[in-house]
Amino acid sequence: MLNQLTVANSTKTYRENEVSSEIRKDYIVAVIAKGSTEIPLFFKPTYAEKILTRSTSKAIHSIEKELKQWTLDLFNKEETEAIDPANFINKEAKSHLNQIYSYDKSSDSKALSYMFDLIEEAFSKHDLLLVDALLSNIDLVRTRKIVFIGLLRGTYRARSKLKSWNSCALQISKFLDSNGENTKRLLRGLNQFNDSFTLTSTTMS
Amino acid sequence: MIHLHSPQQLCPEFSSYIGIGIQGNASQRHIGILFRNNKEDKPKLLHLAFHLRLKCDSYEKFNNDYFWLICPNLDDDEQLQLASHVKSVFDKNQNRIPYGLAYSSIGSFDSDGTLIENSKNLGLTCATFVMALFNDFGFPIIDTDSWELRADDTIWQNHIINCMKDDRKTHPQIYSETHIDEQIKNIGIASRFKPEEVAASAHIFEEKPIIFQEAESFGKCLLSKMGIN
Repeated sequence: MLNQLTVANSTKTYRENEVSSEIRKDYIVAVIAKGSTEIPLFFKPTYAEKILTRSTSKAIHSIEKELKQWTLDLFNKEETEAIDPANFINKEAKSHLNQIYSYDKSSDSKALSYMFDLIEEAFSKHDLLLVDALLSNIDLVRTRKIVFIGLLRGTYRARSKLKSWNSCALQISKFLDSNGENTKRLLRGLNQFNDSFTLTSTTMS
Repeated sequence: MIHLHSPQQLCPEFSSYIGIGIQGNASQRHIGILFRNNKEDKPKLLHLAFHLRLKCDSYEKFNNDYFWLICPNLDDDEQLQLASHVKSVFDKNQNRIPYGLAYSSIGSFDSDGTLIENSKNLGLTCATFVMALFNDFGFPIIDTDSWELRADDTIWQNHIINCMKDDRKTHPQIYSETHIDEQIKNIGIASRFKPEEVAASAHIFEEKPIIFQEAESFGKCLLSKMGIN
């Protein structure tokens, strides 16, 4: 886990040793990523470019300022969360979901194909965290019901190990109810063997 | 009532995303699932041919051989969802589905979503593979608890074991040491879900799983329409 002290010390090292202009991108990445097994998702190529092209002490000062600001950003904004492994997965899931929303605008089966390929790939790699993140992050307003119900059906077989499955099913059930859909019909079969997921009272009436 | 179509009627009459294809004779039938993601395309046939051989045949390859039925109680959205799912299952799981006699209502997948592994000595038949595809998608077409053992099940199960032994001679590398021995233990114990019963159940399924007596009766009706007595 990246800590504030690591970044602060790194900044200090740059200033005291007057690091040469040959500041390498991978060195910066290594310093920032210290304590993390992954290269941070939040590393911005544009920022790296700035670092690579600066050679004067003014530039070093500027880097220090930017690093400080960046540090503040890291600990104050959502980028901080990106360091948490769970948030890496959420970011990955959101990225896939954005692709699904984009494909779904064309109203053909491309979004479904992409989604089911993703689910099967994840299952084949035992990557339940990604599947769970898809369930917990899907935006029902941004996609058609064929897609979000498809997500529920495509993951149904592993529902007992997906902590977000029931809550997603319930959320979808309420959403369909509120849109005047025949929820019971649309979600038929999905509560067959499930103790905790029950359709809403409106649905059952 | 069962509405079975003859092989020659498939195109242009097939107007769904999902259907069931069935072929065979009095001693052995084979079943698969017809699917397509676009109604302008010709359907393909996904079927578990045998041990670790999940096949997806083009229309040109299967169209003259298979009788077919639609699933009229699945609406277009449900069919398209299932068709897309079926395609992904094939794309990601070719040559990974073992053949076996025992079927569990948990379907073809472990609870973490991965397909049943060959090393576990479990497996599916062509018929239980179709059941599993539906069941794991939230469409439990058959009430497995209602199933009864029949005298001719054992004959068929022994025949399958002999087929597996022959197949192992040709493809020894795809069988685990214990796979066939484990299947032998299921003879006379495992329920047999006949292809025509699964086909008929998928055809008439609305919400409630089809019980044994219904499926058996509709299965016989389907065989009769295929000209098999």
